[in-house]
Amino acid sequence: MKVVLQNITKIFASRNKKVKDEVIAVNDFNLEIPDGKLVCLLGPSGCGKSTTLYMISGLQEPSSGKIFFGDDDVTKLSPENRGIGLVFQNYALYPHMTVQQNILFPLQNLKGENKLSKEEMLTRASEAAKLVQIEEYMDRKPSELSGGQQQRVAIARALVKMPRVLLLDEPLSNLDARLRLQTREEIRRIQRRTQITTIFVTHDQEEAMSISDYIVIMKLGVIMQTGKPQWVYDDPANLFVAKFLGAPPINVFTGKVENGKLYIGEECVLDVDGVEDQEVYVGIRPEGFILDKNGKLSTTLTGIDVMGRDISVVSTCESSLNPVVRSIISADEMGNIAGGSSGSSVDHTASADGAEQEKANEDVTVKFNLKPHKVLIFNKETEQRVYFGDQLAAHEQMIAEMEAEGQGYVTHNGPLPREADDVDKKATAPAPKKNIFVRAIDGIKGLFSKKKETAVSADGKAETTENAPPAVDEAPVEPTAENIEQTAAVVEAMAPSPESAANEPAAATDAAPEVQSAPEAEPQSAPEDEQAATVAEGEPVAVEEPVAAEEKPAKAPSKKPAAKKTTTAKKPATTAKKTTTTAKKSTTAKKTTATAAKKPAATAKKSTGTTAKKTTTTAKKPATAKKSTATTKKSTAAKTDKKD
Amino acid sequence: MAKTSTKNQWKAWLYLLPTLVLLGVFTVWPIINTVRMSLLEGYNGLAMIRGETFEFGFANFVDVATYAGFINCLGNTLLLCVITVPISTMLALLIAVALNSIKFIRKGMQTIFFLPYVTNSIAIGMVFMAMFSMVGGSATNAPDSVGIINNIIKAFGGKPINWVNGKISGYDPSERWANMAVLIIYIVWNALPFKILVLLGGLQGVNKQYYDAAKIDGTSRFRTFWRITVPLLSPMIAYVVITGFIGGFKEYSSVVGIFGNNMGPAHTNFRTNMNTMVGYIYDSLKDNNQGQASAAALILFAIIFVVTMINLYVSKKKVHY
Repeated sequence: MKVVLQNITKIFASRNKKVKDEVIAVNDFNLEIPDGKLVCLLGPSGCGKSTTLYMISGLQEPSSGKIFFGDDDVTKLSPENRGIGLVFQNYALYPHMTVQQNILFPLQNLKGENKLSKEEMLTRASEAAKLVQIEEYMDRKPSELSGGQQQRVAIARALVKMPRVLLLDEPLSNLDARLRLQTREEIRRIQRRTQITTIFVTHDQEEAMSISDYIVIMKLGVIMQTGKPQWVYDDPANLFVAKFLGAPPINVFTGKVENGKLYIGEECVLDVDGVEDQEVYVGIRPEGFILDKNGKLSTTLTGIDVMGRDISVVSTCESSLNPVVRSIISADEMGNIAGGSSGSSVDHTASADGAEQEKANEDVTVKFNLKPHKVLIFNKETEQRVYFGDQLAAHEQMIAEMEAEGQGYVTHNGPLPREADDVDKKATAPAPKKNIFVRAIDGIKGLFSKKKETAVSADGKAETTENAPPAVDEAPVEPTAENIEQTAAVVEAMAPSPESAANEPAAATDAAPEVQSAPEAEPQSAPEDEQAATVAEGEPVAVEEPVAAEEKPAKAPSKKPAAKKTTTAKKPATTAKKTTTTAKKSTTAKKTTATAAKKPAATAKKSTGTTAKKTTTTAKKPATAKKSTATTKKSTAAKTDKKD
Repeated sequence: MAKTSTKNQWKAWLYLLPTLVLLGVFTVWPIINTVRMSLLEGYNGLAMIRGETFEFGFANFVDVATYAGFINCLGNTLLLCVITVPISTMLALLIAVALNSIKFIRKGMQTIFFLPYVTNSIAIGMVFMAMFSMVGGSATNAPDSVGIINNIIKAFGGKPINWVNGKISGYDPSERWANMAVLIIYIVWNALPFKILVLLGGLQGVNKQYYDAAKIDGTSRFRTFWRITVPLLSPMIAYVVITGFIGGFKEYSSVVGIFGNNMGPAHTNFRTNMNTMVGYIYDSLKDNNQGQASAAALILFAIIFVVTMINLYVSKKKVHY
């Protein structure tokens, strides 16, 4: 059964009746879900994905727009007449009934000609139970089952009446990491077997990527992009999508395009044909780096994580928006880093031995070349993708492929909804499209108030939004929740123990909503001030790097050259300090700092972190190298970069 | 450890003393004394002071059990319990569900339903008496005045019913049911608020997703109520029923409020009035017949105990915790 959503909008009235504000949970949502496919609605918490699901189920009514199942308009149909099965986030199994009674319950509701005999019901129930492999628990109560089993009972209950559409609302979020992996395979298997059109809501990008035929990425009620998981990963339409997909996350740099060349900082890293000169964000997937001693992008090495199959080179770069640049290199190339100075792309100048190691690791520069198809450029103003070279051709080919399969390509054009709106939920989220009544009311308001020109009122709320586009040109990069989220994700991922490595995706995603949900008002204005201050001091680098900008004024001016080597350990700390407003958040931030700080402490014993020279994170490097390259340890030639 | 604890034990006892003394004087001793008095044949407080002695035996129990007045009281009490507890529980459940499903006047309705709980039961009983009354008149003459209920009946062309005032000419057993009806209405109405409160609290604790799930499965309202709401509320319902029975067996003030000291219409006597168990105990005490009063109290205790045990046994089978 094909599911079509046409211009669906959902507006929730404000809880406070005096304030005539409202929340647009879903904004002009257009989507076509082909028959028999598994589609994921993916997005951060509060992006309207569950609301969309509930509107498809009929439990919530859209404020405007239409929903079609096949050719039937079901917009006004009550849930029971839509022929859907819904699995709730916490399953909603009736606690007083046994598993069998739970599964039978929907069948017993059937009336008239659909009414089944007792035997038929039992057969259907046992078939459904067999499908999800819970036959042996039929006589148990839900409280006597494990989370995964309960989840399967919930699916069986949804499937037993043979729904036209199966809806799953974050069904895996209550399961532990291992069970989650197992269950999502299960869901995939069941969906393949039954061929029921399935819509799955999740905030876990890994989960979405692994099981769905198509994913729909949402932000603040707006579709950002639809498509096959791999395609969306390879070819994101905007910066948000690029950042949201991928673990470890994409490395984002500020840069510019001049004369068909892409610059990150001062370095020309890539030829980009057919792109106009502009300020850009450069996103580079971790796998998009090639170690090369003549590489065009140079970064400061902070550590190397060995993960068996491949290794991850962690370094810092001033233009990077992420606290660290993480590149994943095949383990075969590892020799290139540690072995012999001749072929090494890492610029060593002294032998790494004993106590000298600590000195030696300063300013080790790693150089990379970039794989063009892993480099994604985004316009700095709109954060929309800028295609270069043969990327555009590939993009168009994929759109054609999608349309051939009957899945329309949807993406969000125009300015992106900003985090600023996210922060103040009451603000009328993404401005451009509004309910006609709301617009009318706004218009009337405008007649009476002369403050219409001021797009932002005193309390920071976007007002009279019809002609005021979302403030895209504030600070180029705010240390918003999103950045911190990334920090958290990266630092979590850095934790060297195998245990945490296994939990990595879970930990990263767990941390994310926590950070994002924290109400935040300060950082928007703060970085601007800081930047202004630094610009006045004549620090050109700092303009593009707010994290650095924040840190610099904190240090004494005499340490200016040293301050250039911003360390991972300090960055999150500073970011956290500036942006932390709530207690909850500060704990998250502390955790990330702690993880970052713990590592060097374990590897390099005496890192006197007081001076900028002996930065704690760089201190880690030789120790790791020693461990990982036991055979070539003696021959490791580490040179100190004598820049200072 | 053990040494210090024994050393300081007197302190512990000292701290416990006020509570122990109060409990001893007002709870433990009365219970023991009740048992003692019930086992002394024909025990009488005044006679005891005069120096009379009483024989040990079960005569009190035998007297009570064979006394016609007591049989009447026991019958009344059992009848009231059996009728009022199920009615009030069901009504309370329906009202609670209804209150829970409306948003807009819930607060006001809650207050209205809760009012009887905070009002003096004797006072309300007298109001009931006034509402149902029919003062004056006789079998042949039309009554001089009637209460509001009889006025309503008359307005619809009915004959006034002798709700609370008996015929002057003598006892008419058919009027017993009219008397009982008033009592039942009063007790049900008086018992509702507490039950509604408990059930509403339970309802608000029920996860709304069960209803969403039921809705998606196309469950009818009645089935949702019967298969989901009632089982999920069963712990509350069990609690309400058990306390309802206990309260029902102790019914007394309502009868006094409505029928006055005679515990029934004027023409009735101890065999035919609306007296209850507690009323009987009270009357016995008034007559300085503490032995029989104690025996009746113990019988009442035994009945309540047995009924509660039955309740608990049933709820163990039917209640889903």
